[in-house]
Order: sequence, then C-alpha cells, then structure tokens
Amino acid sequence: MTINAMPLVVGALCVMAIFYRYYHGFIAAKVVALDDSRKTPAYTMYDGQNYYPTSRWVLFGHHFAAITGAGPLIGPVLAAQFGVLPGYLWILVGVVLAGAVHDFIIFFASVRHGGKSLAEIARIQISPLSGIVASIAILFILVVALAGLGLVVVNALSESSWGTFTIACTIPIALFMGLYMYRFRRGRIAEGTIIGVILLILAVIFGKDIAHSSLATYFTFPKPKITLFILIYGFVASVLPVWMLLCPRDYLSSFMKIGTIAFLAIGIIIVHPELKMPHITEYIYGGGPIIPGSLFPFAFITIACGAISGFHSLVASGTSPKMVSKESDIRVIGFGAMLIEGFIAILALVAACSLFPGDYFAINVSPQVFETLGLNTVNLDQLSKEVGENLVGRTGGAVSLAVGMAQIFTSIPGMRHLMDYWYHFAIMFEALFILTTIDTGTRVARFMIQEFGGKIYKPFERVDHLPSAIISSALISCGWGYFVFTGSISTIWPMFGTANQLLAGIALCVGTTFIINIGKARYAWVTIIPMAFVMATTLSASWLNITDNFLPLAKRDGFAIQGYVNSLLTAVMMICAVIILIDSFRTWYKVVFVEKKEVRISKEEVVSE
Amino acid sequence: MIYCTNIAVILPIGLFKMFQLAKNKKSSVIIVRESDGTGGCICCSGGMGEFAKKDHSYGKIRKIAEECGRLHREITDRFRDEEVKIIQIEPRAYFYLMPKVLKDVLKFNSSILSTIRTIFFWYQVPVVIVNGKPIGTGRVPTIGEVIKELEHSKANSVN
Repeated sequence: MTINAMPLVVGALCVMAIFYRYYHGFIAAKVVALDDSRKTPAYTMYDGQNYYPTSRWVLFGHHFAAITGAGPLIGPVLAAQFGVLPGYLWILVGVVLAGAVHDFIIFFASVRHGGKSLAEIARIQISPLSGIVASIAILFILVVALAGLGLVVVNALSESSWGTFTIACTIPIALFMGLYMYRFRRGRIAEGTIIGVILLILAVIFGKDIAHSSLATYFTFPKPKITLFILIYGFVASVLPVWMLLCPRDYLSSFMKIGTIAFLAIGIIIVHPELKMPHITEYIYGGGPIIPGSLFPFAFITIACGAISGFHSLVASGTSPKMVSKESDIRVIGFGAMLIEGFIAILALVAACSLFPGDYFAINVSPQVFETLGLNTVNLDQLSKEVGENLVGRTGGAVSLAVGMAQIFTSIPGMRHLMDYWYHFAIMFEALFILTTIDTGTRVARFMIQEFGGKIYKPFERVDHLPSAIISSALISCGWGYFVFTGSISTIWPMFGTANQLLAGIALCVGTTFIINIGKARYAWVTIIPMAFVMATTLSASWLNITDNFLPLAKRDGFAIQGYVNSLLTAVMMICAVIILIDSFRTWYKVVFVEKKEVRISKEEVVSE
Repeated sequence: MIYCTNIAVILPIGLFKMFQLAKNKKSSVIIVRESDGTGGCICCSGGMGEFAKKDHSYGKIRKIAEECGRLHREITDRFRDEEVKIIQIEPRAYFYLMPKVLKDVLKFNSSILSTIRTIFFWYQVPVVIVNGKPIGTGRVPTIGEVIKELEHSKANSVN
C-alpha cells in the first residue's frame, strides 16, 4: 500500500507548531524562565565585533544556515531501510522532544555564561575533568564524522565521470572566486558569488558532454583513487589560507543550500509524491542490508542531525549566543531553527521513500547482497538510463537521495527531460557541503591536535607554525582517511551517528546540570528524558557495534587491524561519555541532596540561635 | 488554486506591511562585513566556530571586523536606539538584506543609482548602507561620514 507524502508533511508541520507553541513555550516560561530584563552578552560584553545585539530574524537565518546541511539529508535516506514510519516518527518525536530542547538549552546556558563554548560550560557546570574529556571526545567524534561524510562523497563519485568532473570543477571555481573576491576585485563578494554559481551550473551542464567524450576516462576513478584525492584535498585545503578556498566555497554552499532546500520543499508540495516504501520493513528486527542491526537502537543513531545532533551544541554555544539581543529571541532561534532542520530531514525521507523498495535497495547495497534480498527492481534500468549512470550498488545514501530529488524535480511541469541534470546537480549540491565540511573539519581537528601537542612541545601549538600545521593536518587526514579506505557505509555511518549522538548526550548532560544548578531541579526531566534515551540508544548501539560488528570483523583474515581500531575508537567515545555522565551525576547529587541538606542545617542553626 | 490564494493573500499583506514600516522614519545603518568564521556546524555544512579565532589567515577579515566594531560602538555612543537602528550582517544573509534595503530605499527616497547599487549588491564589502545608500564601499567609513549621510537623507526625506 502506498501513501501520499502530503499528509505526512502537513502532519509534521502541525505537530511541530503545536509543540513549539505549548511544550517549548512551557520550557521557555517555566524551566529556564526567559527574562528580557536581563542583559544578554551582546550588551554586557558588547564590543561591536563579536558581541553585538542582532535582529532576531538575522540571527535566526545565521543560526539556521549554520546547523543545516548534508547531515539531515543523508541519515533519513539510510534509515529508510526500516520503512517510512520509523524514520518519520523518530524525526518528529526526536526533533520536538530532544533536538530542539537540546539546541535551546545549550544556547540559553551559553547566553547565561557570557557566550562561552560547550567545553567551557562543562568545565564550569560539572568539573574541569569533564571539560577536558569533552574536548577529547570532540576530537574523536570529528575524525569519525569526517570519515562518515567522506565515504558518502567517495561512493557518490566513484565510476562517475560526470559527477567527478563537476566536483573537480568546484575546486578551480572556488580558487578563482577566492582570487576574484580577495585579490582582483577586492570585496566584490556578490559579483564573485554570482560568477561562481554560474560556473558551477555550467560545470553540471558540460559534465554530460565530458561523460560522453574521450575525456571521460580522465574523470572515471574507482573508490580507492577517489578516497586518495579527497584525502589529499582535505590535507591541502586545511593548510591553505582560508580566503583561497574555504571562504569562496562557503559562499557557494550557502547560496546553493538555501536555494536547493527551498526548491525541494516547493517540489514536494507541488508533486506530493506517493511513497512506495512500506510503512515498516522486515529489517526492523535486524539483518538490514544497509545498516546492520535492529530498529532499536540503530534507527536512532542512523538519523542523527534531523532529530538531534550533538554538533549543534557547538554552534549554539558559538557565535549565536554572543549576538542575541534579548532572551526571548532564544526561543525562536534555538527551537525554531532545529524544527526546520527536522522538517528538512522529513523532506529527505520523502525523497528516498518515493523510490520503489527494489530500486532503493539496489542502489544502496552491493549487487551481491541485493541478490540475497529477494527483491526485484522496478524502474532502476529506466532511472539509470535517464540519469546516464549505472545506479546499481551506489551505496552511501547520496545517490539514492539524488535520484529521489531528481525524480521530484522532474515531476514539476516543464522539467520532465532534465532528469540527468537534476541528478548531477543534487550530487554536486551534496558533495559541495561535504567537501566544505572536510576542509573545515580537518582544520579544526588540526588546531585541536596542535593544542594538545603544545602541552608537550610549546611551538607545536602555534597555528602559523608550518611544520606543526603539516604534521597535524597529515595526522588528521590519515586518521579519517584510514576509516574511509577500510570501511563501508555499514560500519562508518553507525559510528558517525553514535559519535554525533554521544556528543548530544554529553550536551544534554551539561544542560541538565545547568538546569539543576539554577535551582530548577524539578524541571530537569525536560533534558534528563532525552538524555537518558540518547545515551541509552548510543551506548547500546556502540556496544552492539563492538560486539556484533567490529570484533567479529577483527577475527576475519586481513581485517584484524580495522576491527580493533574501530572497536577502540568506539570504546574511547563510550568511555568519554560515561565519564561525563558519572561526573554529572556526582554534581547533581551534590547540588540536589548535599547542598540542600547543608542549607537546611544552616537554617535550623539560625532558628536555634 | 491554493497557491494562487496564498499569493493573492500573502503578497498584498507583505507589500502593505512594507509600506507601513516605511512610514517609520527611524534611521537605519546596515554594516555589511564578512565573518571571521565559516557558517555551519561540522556535521552539516562545515564550520569552525570558535576555532576560527585561531586561524591567522582570517587576519584581514578580522581587522575589518574590528573596524566595523569600532564604528558600531561610535554610532551607539552618539545615537539612542530610538534614533538609529544598526544591523551588522554578513553578505550571505541575502534573504534578510534584500527586503531590508528595499524598505530603506522606499523610506528615504534614495537616488536611482544608489538604489540600483544597493538592491543588486553592486558594491564592495565591507560596506555601510546608511538609509538605503551605500557609503564607504570597500572600506569602513568614519563616524563623520555616517553622521553626514544620516543628516543628508533625513533632510531629503523631509523635503
């Protein structure tokens, strides 16, 4: 039985609106008691540069752009293996009860801490140990995140001359834009961006001619070669000055993101596709071909960003709290931006589920595995013909999302014959974000390594020290590159989801401690419940990953190192989360029981005196 | 049908609101400058957050941000919130910037050339848009220049 996408999309909007009005209103009024008479850091620490009051809608746009991208698009596509309902319900329930609350509480805590970062808040609210552990956890999580996203690009570009040509073009285009905006015509950002976007669209258009010419062989690579190129790209980009590649690429991504997501939303409203995926598939009990493991806990870690994302806590405790002009704005920005991110995740799920199950699985698993599933493809040959590429066994989620998006776009009147262009546009759109992520992520991880290294050898922490920059960039690139080389989407994506959700669990732990410390322990359940759920799912998923996936993998010939490294990394992240959890319990116990008792005793002493 | 209804209802309300807001003669200063951090969280769209502060290659962007900060402070020192609304924004915030500059252009009767320049972002960043007119493009203007333009556009709008 098929179901139309529209009731799901409208239903999701209604649920989000109701929760925003009532539940989030309750949290804003009762739990944290937003107080507009309190000056925010934008006033108390005003410098006009980092700290300055900003209009609610400007900041909303800034915050929304910061938290939205490739993450919420890929997870729901992979989780579609469990059917439409599990992913849909988790996104909806997760975003209103966990994700939005997580973003809001950390945002609020950061505002009350003068715009401090998550690690700083952890250090102040829990203990210095938790601050250090949070930093280490972030570093490990970063490596896994880069590997997870890197693998998505590798799988999308392997054996695709059109895709590789388009993405390869983004590098000289970004370099040209960088030179144009910062050297030839300084400050002409609008001009540079318009030229960049036009060149990018031309790269998509001419990619077809390249794919059908003798030049195609120069752009057709197997996975190992694509991995190597992306690894080299990550290394070089993280050492280059930001104006040369990072800034222009970021401008391109920003405009592409808003445009494409808006177009997808409009497309789904106009086309309102039928969802061909069953409501629930047999894989909810485990043994799924894309994500091994049962619905609980694996569906909850596969969809990370769309429901709850730990990385948002880094944004919510970054620039946004320094610019918010009054506390009541945090409600719109903190809750609102995350709700829209959840909505985007639902759009991605709709795009994936609009494919026939046979086609979806044929794209997302290898041909050998697909043969064992007992499914038949329906439209795949036709789709492959229309997009001009073999779609069989293109794992990673990006390809099926691109096919789903292209299908929706081509259903819009007048777009019927543009399937191949829309498909490659969607691939370019996804890869553009991910390469920006690889660039910045490698750079951030490099700074963290340099920070740690500086404790042993002082000059190492200087970010302008070239040998240190090269060594630390190489270390990080090889770190995530190793996982991309050796892993598959079945091993890497659950690790990425686990890492992201563990960070969310840590942030919710910090948020709970903050709520207890401000004397609102009776309302601490608003963060304790999502924290308990997120910690339970991620810790059990981590454990199952180690026992059911990685350790058995280590016993296979030639996979020993990979199995043990994956196990070790997962174990380190688990240990970090457990340390912070125990440290938080200790703080909560102290605040709720010991300090209360001390206050009561001192009151009794005063009365007796 | 539903889309036509939406357009028929939302568009006039938006235009009406824009003209209504245009009646409010509070001056506007929009400081457009680049940020010394990329937008985004790492899992989604790539972002360096606080780590951007460590990157020396942001030096130039940061220097301009400091100058914009100085101008921001000088304006808030001289004018009350009710007199001048200051917005500091990144060039990528196109969707907010566009209606805002349109409103300012309508409010203060800017010249055609400056209207075109403002609406089509035909200027160098950093730029300070005072009551719909870009001044000091490619550099951060002095407070004197901003005050002069504020007075000039006020006088124009009265006439």
